[in-house]
Amino acid sequence: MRSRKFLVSLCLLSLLVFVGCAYTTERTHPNFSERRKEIKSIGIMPPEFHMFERTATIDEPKPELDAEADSNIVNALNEVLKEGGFVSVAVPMNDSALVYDQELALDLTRQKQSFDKACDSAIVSKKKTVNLTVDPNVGVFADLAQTDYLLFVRGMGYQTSGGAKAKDVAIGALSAVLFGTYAGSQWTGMVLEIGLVDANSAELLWYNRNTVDQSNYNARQPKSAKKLCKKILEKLVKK
Amino acid sequence: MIYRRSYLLLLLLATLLIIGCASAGKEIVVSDLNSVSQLPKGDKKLWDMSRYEENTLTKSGLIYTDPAVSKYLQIIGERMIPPEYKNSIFKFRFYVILDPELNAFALPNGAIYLHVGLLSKLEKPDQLAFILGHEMTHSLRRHASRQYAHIQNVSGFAQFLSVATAVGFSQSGSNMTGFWNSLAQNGLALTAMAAVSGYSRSDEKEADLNALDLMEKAGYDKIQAVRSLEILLEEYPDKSTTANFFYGNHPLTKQRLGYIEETIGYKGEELKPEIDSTYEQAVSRLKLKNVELFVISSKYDKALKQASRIEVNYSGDPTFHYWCGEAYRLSGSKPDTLQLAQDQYQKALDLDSSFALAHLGLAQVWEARKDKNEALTHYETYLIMDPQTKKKRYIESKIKSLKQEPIPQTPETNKKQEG
Repeated sequence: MRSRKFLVSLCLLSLLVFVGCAYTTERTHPNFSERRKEIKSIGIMPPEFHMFERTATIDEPKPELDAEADSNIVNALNEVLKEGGFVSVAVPMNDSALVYDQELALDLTRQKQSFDKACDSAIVSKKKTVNLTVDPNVGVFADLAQTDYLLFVRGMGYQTSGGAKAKDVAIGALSAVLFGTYAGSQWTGMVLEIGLVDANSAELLWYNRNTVDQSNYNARQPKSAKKLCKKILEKLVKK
Repeated sequence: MIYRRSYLLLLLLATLLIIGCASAGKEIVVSDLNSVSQLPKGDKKLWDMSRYEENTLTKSGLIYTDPAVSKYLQIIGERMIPPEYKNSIFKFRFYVILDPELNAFALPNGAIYLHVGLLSKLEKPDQLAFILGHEMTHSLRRHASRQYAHIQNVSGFAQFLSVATAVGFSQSGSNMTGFWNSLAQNGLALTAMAAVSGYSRSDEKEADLNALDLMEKAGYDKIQAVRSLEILLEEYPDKSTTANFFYGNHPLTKQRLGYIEETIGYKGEELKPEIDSTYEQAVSRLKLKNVELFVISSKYDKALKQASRIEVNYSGDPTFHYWCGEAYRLSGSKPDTLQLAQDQYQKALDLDSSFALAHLGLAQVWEARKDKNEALTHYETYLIMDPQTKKKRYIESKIKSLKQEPIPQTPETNKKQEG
């Protein structure tokens, strides 16, 4: 009898270990479900999106890819939000405007910094509901988009070339032969974080994060961006 | 035995081929170049990256734009450029960056950045000349090119040994915050390297010594190089366990003082602070800006320390008192700090009754004290005085939510209601 109990416990434990615990990255404001009903239109903030080429040695910034990834993500978010029944508009802003309007540029930087802080707190929070805010000047951007809600976006993508992959494998194999340890190739893919902010109170209402492997994401492909955005916004747009 | 040896040799050869050795390139005389296209391939790439990063920093709004300060920097900078480089590819640009720490950095293409914190702490143009000479040397001697190659080799080797997966431009251990802590993640790899991790110690020493030469040629007092390092030492005392983030990988400041004093033959006492009126005039607004920047960086103690240094000159300025109030208020909601904050906002209003921000500060103090009515009065006054404020939506939302809150029933409110 005792051995049967032990066996059942062991099975349960193994099941837990194998299945793992379902982990959610979504965080919401305590009143999100009520306030969600009021949201009709959403402005999309200029994203902070950076792509890196991951070589065997360093992560090299690829600014030429940033712009393409940016526009693909913004377009995809726009489409997904519209499909979800929201009026969606990108906050109108261009690079040259930021060079001439340093005050606006600094406001944007401060917004991004405050969103970074909010994201970092949301990630480490063990609770699913969070009380976080961004910089109170956020209204400036809501005025530009003529909306009360803003979607903040930040992301980092790591990709690698075929040559770098081959090099990684070769290095790994050599290190295994020489040192008995396998220096595996580094992870490549995309990490995307999105936050919905009430531009009046500056409160973060909803936050989610998604990670995809390089095999499932291509910064140059709009289709790929759409798939990623659909997944990350799934719960926000759900009616 | 022979087979084993050949096997090992083969492995070593393969290893070297795979890892490769990024080379900093052959020695070139940069002063002879009159076009960027003449640069070696690696340097050309860094030059393009620099251009992108310079543009990104400009678009970030983090550049302090005051024509008087820019002109002053340009005059001293121009004087420090060695004659042989006057017509070279280096067209030095000098920027002031909105950060309160003592730092400066240069990009490979000749864009030089000085933090507000550093400029507001220096005392004389000669000290500034030393800093500029140091940073200019990093560009002129192509230190970034060497360091970039070094990072590639080191991280490749580290990965090969399975020690680290990605050294990249990790900035762990840096005590910088916000934007500066995420430079590499923001795609500003060269800025991160120049501003945070620094160059090799030998390159840093070369930059120090060459800066002394440039100072001499430009007619600046080299002894002031000693004083500029003493200022650093006052702010960031040397600790053997952690490198100062200013000049990240620099030799410790005391070591630098040692070889600089030896080079210029200076055996004097510690230099005393000297005030230079032209320098003071050029950077006077930066000193006040530095208090604000410390508050924004959540370094409230440093903000108050900086405020106490400049109080004599700014006690009649409402902005000064507003930022002191912010430093007190944000440092904690204890009754005493809230009272100190309130006093500062009140001083700002006493100096200038139309100084709207003081009402915002007072509203936040009263809100922290849970006095809804006082908070509402000041929020509303702030909006009346500054109807176009960027915080308009935020303040309106605050007013709305405060009005919706039930009034706490205290003996005082009961009396008011009865009255």
